[in-house]
Amino acid sequence: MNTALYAVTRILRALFVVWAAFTLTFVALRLLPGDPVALMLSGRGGFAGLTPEQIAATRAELGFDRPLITQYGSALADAVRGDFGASLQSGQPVSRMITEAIPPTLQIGAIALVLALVIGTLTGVAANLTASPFLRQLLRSIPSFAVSMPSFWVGLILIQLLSFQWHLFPSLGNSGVQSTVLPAFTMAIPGSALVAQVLGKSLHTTLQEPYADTVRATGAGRARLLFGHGLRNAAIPAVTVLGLLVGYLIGGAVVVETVFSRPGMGRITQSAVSAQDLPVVQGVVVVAALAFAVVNLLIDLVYPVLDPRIRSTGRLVTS
Amino acid sequence: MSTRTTGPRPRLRLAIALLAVVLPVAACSGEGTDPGGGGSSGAPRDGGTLLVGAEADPSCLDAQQTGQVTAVDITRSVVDGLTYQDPKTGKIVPWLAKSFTTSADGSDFTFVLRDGATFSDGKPVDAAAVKTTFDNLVKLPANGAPSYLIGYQGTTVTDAHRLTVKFSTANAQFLQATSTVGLGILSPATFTASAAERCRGKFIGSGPYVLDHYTTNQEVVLKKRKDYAWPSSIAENKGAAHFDEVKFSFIPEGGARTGALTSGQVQIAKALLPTDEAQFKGNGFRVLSAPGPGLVPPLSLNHKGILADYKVRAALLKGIDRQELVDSVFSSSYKPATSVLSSVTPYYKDFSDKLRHDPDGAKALLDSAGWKPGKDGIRVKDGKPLALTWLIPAPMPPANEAVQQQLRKIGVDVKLKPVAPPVYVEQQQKGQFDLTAVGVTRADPDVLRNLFYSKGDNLWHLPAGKLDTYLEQEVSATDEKGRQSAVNSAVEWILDHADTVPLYEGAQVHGVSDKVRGFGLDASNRFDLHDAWLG
Repeated sequence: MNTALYAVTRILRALFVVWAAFTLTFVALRLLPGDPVALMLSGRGGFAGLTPEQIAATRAELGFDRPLITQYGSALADAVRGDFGASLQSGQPVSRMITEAIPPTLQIGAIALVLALVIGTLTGVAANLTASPFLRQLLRSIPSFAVSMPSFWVGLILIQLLSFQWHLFPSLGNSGVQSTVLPAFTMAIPGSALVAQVLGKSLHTTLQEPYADTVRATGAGRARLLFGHGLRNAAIPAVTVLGLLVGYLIGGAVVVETVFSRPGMGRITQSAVSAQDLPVVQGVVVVAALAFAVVNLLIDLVYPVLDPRIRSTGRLVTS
Repeated sequence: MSTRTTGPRPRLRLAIALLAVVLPVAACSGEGTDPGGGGSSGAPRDGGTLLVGAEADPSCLDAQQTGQVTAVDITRSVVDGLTYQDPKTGKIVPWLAKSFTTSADGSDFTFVLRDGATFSDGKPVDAAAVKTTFDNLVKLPANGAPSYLIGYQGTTVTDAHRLTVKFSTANAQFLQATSTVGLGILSPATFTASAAERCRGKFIGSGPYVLDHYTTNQEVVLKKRKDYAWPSSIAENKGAAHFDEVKFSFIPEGGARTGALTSGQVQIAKALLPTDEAQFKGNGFRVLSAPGPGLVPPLSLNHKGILADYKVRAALLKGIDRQELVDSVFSSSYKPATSVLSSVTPYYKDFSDKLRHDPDGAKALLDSAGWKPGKDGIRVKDGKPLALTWLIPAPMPPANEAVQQQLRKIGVDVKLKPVAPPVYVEQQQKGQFDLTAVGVTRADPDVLRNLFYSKGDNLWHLPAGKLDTYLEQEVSATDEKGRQSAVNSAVEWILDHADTVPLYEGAQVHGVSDKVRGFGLDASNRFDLHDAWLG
C-alpha cells in the first residue's frame, strides 16, 4: 500500500466517523420521548392560551412535521454547510454558539494537553529511571490512583484550597492566564495519569527487549538507554494515547467548566443535554466527533513517520 | 432547591403558572429590605462594581419572552414599569405612570405618564411607546407575561402622556401585572429586533442600568445610566444608581457560589443551598431571604383515577407533616404552608387549621374509603395497592423524597418519576400522573384562577362548580372587600374539597456581603439594585 492510498483511507475513515456520529445522534434524539416544540414553548413559559393550530404552526415552522427521512436529509445537507439550526432555548444559531464556545474550551484544553503530556511523560520516565524499587512502585501506582479520582472532586478541592482559602487564583470566569490554571490542571490530571501508565508500561517492555541488552553491553547507563533508545521505541503507544486524551479532555470540559464557572463547549453541552435542545446537542456531537476524528487522523498520518514498517504495510506491526 | 415552583415547565394555563413562577411576587419578609448587618446607615456612596454570583445562565433575557427568575433579576434594573408594587404592603404605587384609574366596571385602565422619562436610546417614554409595547406583547404566544393581557382589546392614546388600556371583561389582576418586569415598557425601536435578538439582550428600557454585554455561560454586565431620575414613587434614591457597573457571573455549582462569596470574589451569591445558609450569619455576611408570594409549592392532584375519591385526597392533606418537612429538608428561611397562597400574597388569609397534620384522621379516611393496610404497610383495595405516580421534572429536589416517606407512614406508596423537562410537559398535558407539583410566584391572588379554573386548561381535571364562580368573582371584583371575600371563598373551597395539598412556603435566599448596603428585593422577589451601594 502506498503512502497516498494510506492517507486517503484514513481520511475517509475520519469522515465516516463524523457522519456516523451525526446520524446516530439524529436517530437517538428523535427516538427520545418528549416534544421539542413543547420544550421550546414551555421554556418561555408554557402553552397557556395557545391553540392547537398555533402549536401545529410552530411545529411546521421548525420542520418537525415532515417525514423523518426528509428531516434527516435536510439536516445533513445543512450540517455539511455548517448550519445546525437554532437553539430551541435561546433561538440563537447553533453554529454561532459553538464558534463562541470553542475558544475558551480550546484554551484550557490545550494547556491541559501539554500539562498531561509533560507530567505523564515525566512520571512514566521517572518510574523506569529510578533504581529504588520502592520509588518505582510508588511512581507506578500514582497514575492508577489519579485516574480514579473524579474530576469534579479534584476541581472542588483545588478551588477550595487555592482559590477560596489561599486566594491564589480566581475561581470563576474567563479572564487572563490566571483563570485558566485551575481548570487546566484539573482537566490534565486524569490525562497525565493515562500517559504515565501507558508510557511507563511500554518503556518497561522496551527495556526488557534483547536490543536493550545489546545497548547495555556497550556500557551505556540506564539514562542513556532510556533517552537514547527506549523513548523512541515506546513512543507509538504513547502517541495512540494522545487520541484518547483528546476524548478525555472533551468529556472533562463538561465537569470542569461547570465547577469553574467558565463558558465553553462543556457548558453548552451540559445545558443542551439537560434541556433536550436537539439542534444544539446535534451540533456539539458533530463538532466533538470532528475534533476526535481529526486528531486521530493526524496520529494515523504520523505513525509512518515514526515507524517505517507502517509505511510499507499500511498497518501497525505488533512486535 | 429552588424556591419557586416546581415545575420548570408546566404547560397551558399552567404555563401561566410558570410564568408566574417566574414573575411577580410580593414579598415582604421581615428581612426583605436590607436586613441585618449592612444597614443603610450613612450617606450612600457612588461608584464601584457590584459582583453577583448567579445560579444559571438565563439563556433568554427578554422578560416578555421568559419569566425565569434568573433573567428577571437582571432585567428588573434595565426595564421600568408603569407601576411599582410596594414590597411591604403589596400596594400598587406610581412609577412611569404618575397616576392610574380603573373604570367602574373594572375593564378599562387609564394611565397618566410622568414627564421627562426617556429610554436609553434617547426616545421619550410616552403613551405611544406604551401602546407599542402592549400591542407587540400580545403577538407573542400567550404564556408568561403575555398571559396577563388575555382579553386585551387595545390601547387608546389620548395624548403624549395619557392612555387607556381596554379589556373585554373586568381584569382585577392587570394593575399588579403592570408592576412586573414582563409588562415593563420598552422603546419602540426594540420591536425591530427579532425575538432571538431580544433574548440576547437587544431590548431598550428606561431603567437605571443599561445592558453592556451578555456572554453566554459567563456573565451579564450592566452599566449605570447617569441621567436616570424617574424611580418608583417609593424609592429612596431619586437619582441615578450608585454602582457604576453590576456584573452577574453565572456560577452553576452551589458550593462554588458559596466559596466565591466567602472569598470576596462576589458580594452577592444567589440561591444559597439551605445547608450553606448557616455559615453566613454575622461574620461579615447576611442571609437575605424573602418568602415567595403566590401559590405555595403543593402536591397537585389529578382528580382522575385514584384521586377522584375525595377521601383519599383529604387523607393526603392530613398526612403531611409540614413542619417536619421544612425542618428536615429546608432551613429557617422556609415555612410550612398555611394556605394555598403563601403568607406574603395580597389577600392571603391563614387557613392553617385546615392543614393540621393528623395521621390518625388520614388513616381513618383511607379505611372508610376501602383502602385497608396490606403487607409492607401499603394499603390495598380490591387487590390493588394504593400507589400514586408523582411526575417530576428532572432534576429532582430533595423535598420529594421527604414527602414520599411521610405518606408512606399512612400507607400510601408514592412512586417518584423524574423525567426530562420536555417529557414532563407532555405527560402532564396528557394527564399521565397522579401527583405533580406546580407552584406559581406572583404577588396577586389571581394565581388561583390560573391553576384551579375548570374552564382553563384544567390539568387536574377539576369538576366544574362553585369554585369557578368564586374565581370569576375574584378577577372581576371592583373593590378590595369583594375581592377579599371571593379569594377567601375560593381558598376555603379548594381546601375543603382537598383539591390540592399545600406543602411549604418557598423563598428566595441570597447570601450578601455586609459591604452591600441598601439592597433589597422588589414585591416579586426580584433584585432591586437602584437603592443599593457599596460601603
